[in-house]
Amino acid sequence: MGADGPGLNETRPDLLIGIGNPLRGDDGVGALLVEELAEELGGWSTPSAALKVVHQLTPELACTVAGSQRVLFVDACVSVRTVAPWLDSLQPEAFACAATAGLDLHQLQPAPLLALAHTLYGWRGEGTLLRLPAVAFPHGPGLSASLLEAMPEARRLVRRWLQE
Amino acid sequence: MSRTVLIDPVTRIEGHAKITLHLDEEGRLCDTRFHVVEYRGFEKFCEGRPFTEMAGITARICGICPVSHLLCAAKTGDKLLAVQVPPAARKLRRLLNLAQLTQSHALAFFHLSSPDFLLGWESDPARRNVFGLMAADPELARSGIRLRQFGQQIIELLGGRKIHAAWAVPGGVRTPLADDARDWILSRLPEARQTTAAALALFKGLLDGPLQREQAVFGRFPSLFMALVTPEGLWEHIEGGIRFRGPDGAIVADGLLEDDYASFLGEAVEPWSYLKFPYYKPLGYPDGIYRVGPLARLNVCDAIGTPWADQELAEFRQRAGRVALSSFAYHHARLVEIVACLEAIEQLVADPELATGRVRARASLNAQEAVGVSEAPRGTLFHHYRVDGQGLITRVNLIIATGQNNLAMNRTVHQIAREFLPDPVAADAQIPEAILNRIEAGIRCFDPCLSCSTHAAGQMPLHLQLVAADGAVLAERRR
Repeated sequence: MGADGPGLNETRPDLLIGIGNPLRGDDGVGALLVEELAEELGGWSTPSAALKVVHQLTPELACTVAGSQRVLFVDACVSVRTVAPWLDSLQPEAFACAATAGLDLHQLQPAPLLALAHTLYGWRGEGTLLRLPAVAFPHGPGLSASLLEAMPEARRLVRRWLQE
Repeated sequence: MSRTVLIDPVTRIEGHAKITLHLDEEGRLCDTRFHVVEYRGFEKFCEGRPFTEMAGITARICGICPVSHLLCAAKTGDKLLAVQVPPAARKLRRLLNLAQLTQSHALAFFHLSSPDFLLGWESDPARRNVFGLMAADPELARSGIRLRQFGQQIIELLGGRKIHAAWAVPGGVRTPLADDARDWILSRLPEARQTTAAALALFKGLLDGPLQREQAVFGRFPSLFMALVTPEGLWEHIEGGIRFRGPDGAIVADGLLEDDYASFLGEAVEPWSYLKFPYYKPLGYPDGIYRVGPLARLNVCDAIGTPWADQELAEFRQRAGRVALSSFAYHHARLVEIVACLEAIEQLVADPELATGRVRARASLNAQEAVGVSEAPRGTLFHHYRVDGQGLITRVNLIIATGQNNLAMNRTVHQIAREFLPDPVAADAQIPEAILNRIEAGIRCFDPCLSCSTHAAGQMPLHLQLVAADGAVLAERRR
């Protein structure tokens, strides 16, 4: 097992992917939240869930997604709409849209990654994105005050998703 | 009235850029510029940091090839410590770099460039991407993903993570290769070989058929080529000396040391781009144009040194000449290099020293200036640090592969535009999709990473402008 997630051959029904760079302030919140959860669970996988932390989504993650039934992405989101985290369901029709939109394979978004898994491996699972409202991206670690305030709700949403 | 064509942004490369095509009074193409319009300034904000942090900091220039910066920074750190790196650590670093070359070349070939080859230049850009490729050839897309995954997983097995693995350090590496990691690598090698063989067969068929014109005109011009080679002149990617070979096959310089890079490499700047223009100093600017990367490594070496790779190299040279001058041959060169990497990985993991040997030499600061060099997927990478008595960085210079190909990328775009644009361009001309696609594809031959070369942030779309002699923008397309 790698330090940032289970080995490639380990699949679980649930897959939790934390995205971000912890050395760019709020951008790293997804990675930090999933790392924190792994510490709490005592490892990067449980019988029902695999946890993973990445700086960015890359195409080969489609193989990992294909081995799961549900995927939760946890990522920072620049937001002026709200200061509270929220869950977005990633619908299959969104995958199709993503497939025809401009693609940057150096840095995939969650929906195109699920589209890759669907198209290449016939994946028909459920995708969800937990958006965490981010406001500051300075060089270095540390989260903004408003994001720190939002963390208890973010943890609650992740636990609820795991228990569903 | 002279005019300019602008392509902004350029897609499926890493970073931001635009292209302008300048026309003279008669409407004839007179100048072409590949502008890199982003800036991050890593060299500046590294100042004041301990040199031991450089591997971690510079690895964050790029999420795609952090391993290259990590290794080059560690090698530069070795020299500041003035230590001899244990043999096991040197081999483990080699393994890491081979995995890096494999995963990066797999991404470039299968997912960034294959849509151009397989879906056609006239195809809708909204479909000319990996999803279009999946529709056309799903098995190729799947096997490409698995090949990249193979390289990425070796990096993860060695470094604990795929991106920004802080495993190579000044003096060596942190940990040896675990037995289960070695077993996993061995178990996946046959599939990796099979995928690469299939890709080579496919690509050679395309070169013999629909891609003949591209091979003939995409960036085909004489230039120098620079790469590392072993003392015996074999293909090398992390040690050895620097060699320049000319377009006629003659060795122009050999056994050059990275410490002396400033004596043979100059760095010119132009007001219209943040990307520097390195050149071979003895020939001056811009005549000292040279290319680096997979094509240069194959042109510069005498042989690779493993059976399958040497067989593929012989065929590569049979098709493209002893010194391949077409930049389109970068694609073929990447596949040959994947073969070389797979064979070298197989040899390395069989070495028991990787699992048991001493892997790190420790010392305090023993020098205040050092230069490190390695071969990144896109070409030769230099890190040059000066530190004070406490080991804090006072000056950094990074010479990145994509920057070294800057002159060649500009010439490639010019050549493609000259070949495919009407001559002269009519005053009310639009920019046809097929020309836009080919110019973009010309840049992608080099698989440029602008985040590395400008140390810049962001995405990279394509912007093409047609500009008149008086500076007026006559036509413009964005993607």
